[in-house]
Amino acid sequence: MSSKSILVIVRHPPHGSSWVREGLEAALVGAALGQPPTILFSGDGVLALLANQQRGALGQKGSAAMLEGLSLYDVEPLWYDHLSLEARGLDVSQLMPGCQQACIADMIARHDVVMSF
Amino acid sequence: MAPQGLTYALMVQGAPYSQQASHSALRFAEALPAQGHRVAAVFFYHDGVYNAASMMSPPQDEPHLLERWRALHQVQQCELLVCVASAIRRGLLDESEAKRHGHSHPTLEAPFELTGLGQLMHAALHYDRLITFAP
Amino acid sequence: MSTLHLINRSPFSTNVLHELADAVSEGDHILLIEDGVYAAFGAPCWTLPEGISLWALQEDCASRGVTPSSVTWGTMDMAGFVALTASTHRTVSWF
Repeated sequence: MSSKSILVIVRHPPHGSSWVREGLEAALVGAALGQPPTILFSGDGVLALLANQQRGALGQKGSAAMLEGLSLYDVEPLWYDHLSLEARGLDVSQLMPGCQQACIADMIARHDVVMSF
Repeated sequence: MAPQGLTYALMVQGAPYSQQASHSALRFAEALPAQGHRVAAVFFYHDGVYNAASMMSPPQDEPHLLERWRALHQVQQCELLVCVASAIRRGLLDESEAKRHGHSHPTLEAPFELTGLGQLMHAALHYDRLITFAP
Repeated sequence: MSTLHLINRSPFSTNVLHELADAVSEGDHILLIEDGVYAAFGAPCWTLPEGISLWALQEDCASRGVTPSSVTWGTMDMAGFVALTASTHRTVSWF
């Protein structure tokens, strides 16, 4: 098995589009194959980490439930770009449990493959 | 000096004729062999799955993207992998999925294949480069 | 071990270039493609760290009537794009 490391970056907000769900599904499949990717929320992607979300208008499984399930597959922590969070007037106390601050430049430099959603 | 003979995986997330992503991906893929590289797999995800619509019928004076993908497959022997979950939701079904869902005609045909996300992760891990063409 | 960053959105419709300023490392390359080339009219309207190479894809500039400011932006054809993906370690798409 290859030893390449994969970084999944989610940069879009949840509910309004399928990007978050699709990024999380890719991460989950990677984990199921025994290669759990690192997952990083940046830009509007940090909004997917807000606590107290509900099932969305798309009528699909909300991404929040999927996020909570990621740790079962060793996709943890939920890394977030703190500048994106600050730019949106938010702080970590408003996020779901399991989130951890990351430096996005270091994250990119430490992984072999980057997938953006 | 850039390395030679690399294998590439492309992820195409943009819909044909809506965004430039398909054109950019094709132009890029077609330029690989001149430098000794090749595209090994194209993975269509998000609205990119529409690139596989078998009944795509553009006006004659516009590029026929489906034909371009088929030609790419022939020339570089690349796999054309379509995310099954994204495709079926959007009405792109091969023969067996069409039957299963009670439709009389498939809307996706070879050389495009419906596959799971495992194939995307496999491509990311096993080929030398992954390039994403986004909407 | 450098990174190629691909930008395909107009800088006037997205905040991505500001976000990118925190995401690049010395030795990285930024290549504007598609609507991203509209960022090439002048100097970057955002601050980047030192040691980042800035490029715009020639064919997307030509189709849009954009002449990149040559002080800041190099132009690159499709062959150059391919060569950049080969000589860098990874490619990140920002959209």
